[in-house]
Amino acid sequence: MENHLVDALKNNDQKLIKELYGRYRNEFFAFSKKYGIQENDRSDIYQEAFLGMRKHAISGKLYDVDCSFKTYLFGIAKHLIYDEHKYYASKKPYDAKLHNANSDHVIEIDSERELTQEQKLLRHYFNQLGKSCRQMLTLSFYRGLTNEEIAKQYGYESEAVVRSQKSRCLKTLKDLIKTSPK
Amino acid sequence: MTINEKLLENFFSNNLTEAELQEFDNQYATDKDFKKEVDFLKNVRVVSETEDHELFKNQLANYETEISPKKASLNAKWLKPMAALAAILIVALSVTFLANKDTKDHLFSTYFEPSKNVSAPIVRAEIDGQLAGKAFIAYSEADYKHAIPIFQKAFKETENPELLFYEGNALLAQDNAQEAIEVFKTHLSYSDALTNRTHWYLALAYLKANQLDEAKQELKTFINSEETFKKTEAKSLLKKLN
Repeated sequence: MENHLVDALKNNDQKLIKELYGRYRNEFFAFSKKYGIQENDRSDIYQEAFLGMRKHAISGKLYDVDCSFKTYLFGIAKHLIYDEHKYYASKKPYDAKLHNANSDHVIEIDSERELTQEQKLLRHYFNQLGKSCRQMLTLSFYRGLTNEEIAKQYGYESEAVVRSQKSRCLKTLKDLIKTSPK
Repeated sequence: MTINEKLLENFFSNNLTEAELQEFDNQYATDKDFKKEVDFLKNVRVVSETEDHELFKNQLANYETEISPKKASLNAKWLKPMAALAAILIVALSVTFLANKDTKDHLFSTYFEPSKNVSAPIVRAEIDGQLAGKAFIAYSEADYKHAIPIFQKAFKETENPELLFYEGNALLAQDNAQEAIEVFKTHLSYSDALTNRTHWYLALAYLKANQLDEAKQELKTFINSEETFKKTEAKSLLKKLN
């Protein structure tokens, strides 16, 4: 796939993502209309497909994929349309061709996991952290960047600065949890 | 035993060497503190992922809001010549109206984000009972629909006015500007740590409801208050509305 587009998703290059969003939107809306998706649901599905693309970009999967950005995006979208049809199966029969196992680029996406009670509480405290701490923890633990990479890409003075800030953020988070009554 | 930070860093960035992986597995199996830390950080990963996706979804929703009104004016191209003049007039009027509305909606979505929970909720939940705690948890998960009735009930029970502030925010996040206005006004009849901030959110609710004079008035009150939170944003919004 076009590596610069994967990088854009991964690094949240807002300008390019916005441009990509606009570039395929009309075609996708026409495509989903053909498959009987209601107008109100089209943008939701399109956005979900973009989110799926981004998840795959962050996980590193997309660099080795040998199809274009557009094909992959529509592949995810097909999967979502299929799910939508399954959901409304009693109301409207879906097009079997849409999810034909032999057809190209029907791409599986992970369904959202529900947070455990513990994670829900953690989320509550995570959101009480300042913006820079939330960003630091997201980059370190979700995006999987090393301290060195964070320092380079986000303009910190050194790896050591990142390390100490990360450790401060984790301490604050733990303190928030500790001081809350059980 | 001190936790090997480098090992953790390499684990989460997927950079463990074969030897490090063995060491990691070994420590995870035998060292309770290490296991506890890793499990905690794995939860941080899940939570930060969830939050990151939420932010990205909001970003996409904003693009959609910016793009979708353009569709309406494109249709004008296809009108038959006989109807063209009338259509142009209608389109011109609607475009002015839509553009106006769009600008306001856009301004609203640019400036509004539901307030963070700044009231140390869990501590307060202890004082105010379980309800407020539940409401804050739903609120922090952006589950505003469920948070609203719980905030209402909690307020009735505890009469803690700060709960009104969050109820108003939740209503506004649900695009229910009129009710949000009423709730914020009620909050202003009390005095607490969040009173000044309510002027900012009330201004945004008025903006959403297209009551621009009231919005400007609230912004002025907010800017003249001692509150520093969102002051720059308030000044810039007022400038755009004038």
